[in-house]
Amino acid sequence: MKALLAPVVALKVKVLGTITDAQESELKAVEEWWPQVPHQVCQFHALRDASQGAFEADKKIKTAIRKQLQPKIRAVRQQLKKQIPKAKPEEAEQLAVLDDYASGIVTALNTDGLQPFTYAAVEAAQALDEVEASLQRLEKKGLQ
Amino acid sequence: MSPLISQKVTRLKAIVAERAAWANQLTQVTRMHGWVVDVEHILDESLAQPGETVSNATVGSRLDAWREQMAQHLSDGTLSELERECLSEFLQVLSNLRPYLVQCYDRQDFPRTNNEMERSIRGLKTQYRRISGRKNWNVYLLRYGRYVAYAAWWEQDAAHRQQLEQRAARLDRTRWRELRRETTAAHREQLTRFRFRHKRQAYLTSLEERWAAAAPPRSLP
Repeated sequence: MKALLAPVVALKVKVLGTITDAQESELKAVEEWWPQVPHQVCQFHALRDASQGAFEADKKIKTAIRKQLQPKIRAVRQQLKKQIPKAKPEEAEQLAVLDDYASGIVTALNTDGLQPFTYAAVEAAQALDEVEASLQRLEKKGLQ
Repeated sequence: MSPLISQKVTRLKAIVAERAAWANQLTQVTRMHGWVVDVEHILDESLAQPGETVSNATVGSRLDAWREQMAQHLSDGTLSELERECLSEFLQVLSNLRPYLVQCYDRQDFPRTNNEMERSIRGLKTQYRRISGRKNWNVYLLRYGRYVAYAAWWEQDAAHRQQLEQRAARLDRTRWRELRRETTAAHREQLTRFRFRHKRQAYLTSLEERWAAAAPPRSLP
């Protein structure tokens, strides 16, 4: 890494500060070339490295929830696909709405995390909370 | 609501409700996610009071206070084993990187992440891919990688181009020859590797021929 930076040093440009990923080889190289210059580690990379364990734990939970719920929701969708063409127009429309809910649930279950700030299980759970609340409102409206 | 619709709504609700089996774990990861968000808010200056001068010292002291507070949770029995493990790792990495984590606030325009830099590198890569029609730019990068970012910067506007001209005018001839020699050697090395990978038989035959040509002629018995 030090050798890679040698041409930059040879340019004799005034270096006001350096920024790198949290990699040790990079840190060492910039410290050796520019010891008096403030060196910032990328905060995004630092948070990503620091939260690796938590992110992995979240991913495992999301995968477990998806494994459990996805086959069931797919089965419901398959049934809906068969029932919609046979149903009366008004009922068919309501079944189509429920299919869209099911599609939303599948989407929530397939949410991907993005380190360091987006946690898949947290996002999916939030989405499912909203779906559940909406289904309850739907049911209340249906009963009125 | 027809019985069929009612049954389907109930079924969907029941499926969604099954997530309750992970409620405890979800609470834990939500808390862990909260740590990352907390630190991000400290670092992105959003916790600064109106009119407060943000500096390495102010952000650093906020971060250190947060770390101290969280370190207490490691032993107070409020966390699950998983949370303790993850918090311990989180604090350890922050502690290791602490000397370099809060250096950017005393100087204006000093970025706190290298996201912009990585974006510009991706831009160069995309540009090269469009020009060359190649998906992989590794060969190009290996050949010119050291200078590709400078070239893009110099080409940005007239002021940058002028700087290049001024620098070129001051260039030491010996240094120029040395750089040219290094670049030629780098090209040759890449070409050699390419031939070995893609035209191995021809490459090896040429080595054998070179060997034979270089060997001293055998004397007749």
